[in-house]
Amino acid sequence: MCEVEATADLLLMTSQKPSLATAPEAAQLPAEALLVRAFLDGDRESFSTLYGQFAPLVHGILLARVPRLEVEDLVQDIFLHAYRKLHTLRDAAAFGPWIAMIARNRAMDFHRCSHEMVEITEEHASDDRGRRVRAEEILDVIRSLPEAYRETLVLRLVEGMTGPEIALRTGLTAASVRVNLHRGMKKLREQLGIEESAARAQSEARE
Amino acid sequence: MNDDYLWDRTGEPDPEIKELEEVLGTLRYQPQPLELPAAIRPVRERRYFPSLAIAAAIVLMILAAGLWLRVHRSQTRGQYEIVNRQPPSGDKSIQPVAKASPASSPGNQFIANDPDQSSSKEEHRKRRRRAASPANSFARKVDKQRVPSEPTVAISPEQREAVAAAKEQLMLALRLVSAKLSLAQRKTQGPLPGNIRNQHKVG
Repeated sequence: MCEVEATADLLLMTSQKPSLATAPEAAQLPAEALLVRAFLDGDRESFSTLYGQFAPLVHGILLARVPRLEVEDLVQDIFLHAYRKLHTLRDAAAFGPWIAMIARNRAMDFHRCSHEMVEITEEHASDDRGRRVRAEEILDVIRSLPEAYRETLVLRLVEGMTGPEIALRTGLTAASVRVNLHRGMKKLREQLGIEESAARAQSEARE
Repeated sequence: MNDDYLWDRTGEPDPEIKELEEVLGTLRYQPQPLELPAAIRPVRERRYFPSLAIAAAIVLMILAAGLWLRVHRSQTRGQYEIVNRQPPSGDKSIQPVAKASPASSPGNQFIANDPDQSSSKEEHRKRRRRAASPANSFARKVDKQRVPSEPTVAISPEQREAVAAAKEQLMLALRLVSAKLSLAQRKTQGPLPGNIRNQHKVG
């Protein structure tokens, strides 16, 4: 039920224009549009600025959908695609939603074309190895959540974006992002709680 | 659960969310330079389509209006000619005279020998022949559309009276001829079988 609602929210919100965003968000919109126009006028450096601003968004969207080791290459591919096709973007201010949609489509293509893959975790000798392993586990739990929740949660918890930033970059409304964050976090807590209780039960059984 | 912290990191931090952020932060995007191929150059799309579509629509509208005007004019001309060729509704006695060829009238030899009339007949025959030829189908269509305008005869009241008198004379002459013919037939073929001649009362 929640999944259906969230998907409907996503569909509704993606159709809305970024101009409906709140005032502080709207103040940031012209910057993207200016960068896109500057790039189309021949300024290649402006695309690097766009890349710096939107790479975390694309990274987060991909991380919620494809194996982590594939994400870096896909981010590069998506920005190369955007570099070639940016002249087809009608509304320069909608660069964020546009590239987010490309990333989602590319993730779907990845699953369609790729065979079953086994993700190999990197061997790190550093102290944060355990933390990384734990992060991978939590990420797997997030990936099992409904799509609308998983993307928003990854952008918030992994990429460190705030709710208003997520709304601005993805083209969703702030209300939709807030609902997705709240419900997604609740589900994540439930899943992690279930896992923790299962682990406790296992350890108790061993003892 | 502190919603404000989850939403925009304001307010009191939620310890669980903080821990999740720290753990998951290890997977965060690490900035990498984007390698753009030098061969690909940004292209600014020139959107000619809307202006081209508007121009095409205007041209089409002008063409359609011109076509409609042409058709409408030819139709109205045809109606006008038909109306002109019809006699006035109040004077039906003029109709056969105006339509019929003047040469058929025995009393009117001037019109039969009129060179203009014979030339128009020739012309009409030529036109019919041309229209009948299968090779000239387009010309036939055009001829169908454009009804040839025949010269209209303007008749004055005196002429009308003269025509009526001529008609009366013609009818009288026809009646006389008919009576004389029946008399001649009676004389040549003899009396009819039921006819008793020199009949006298007996007694």
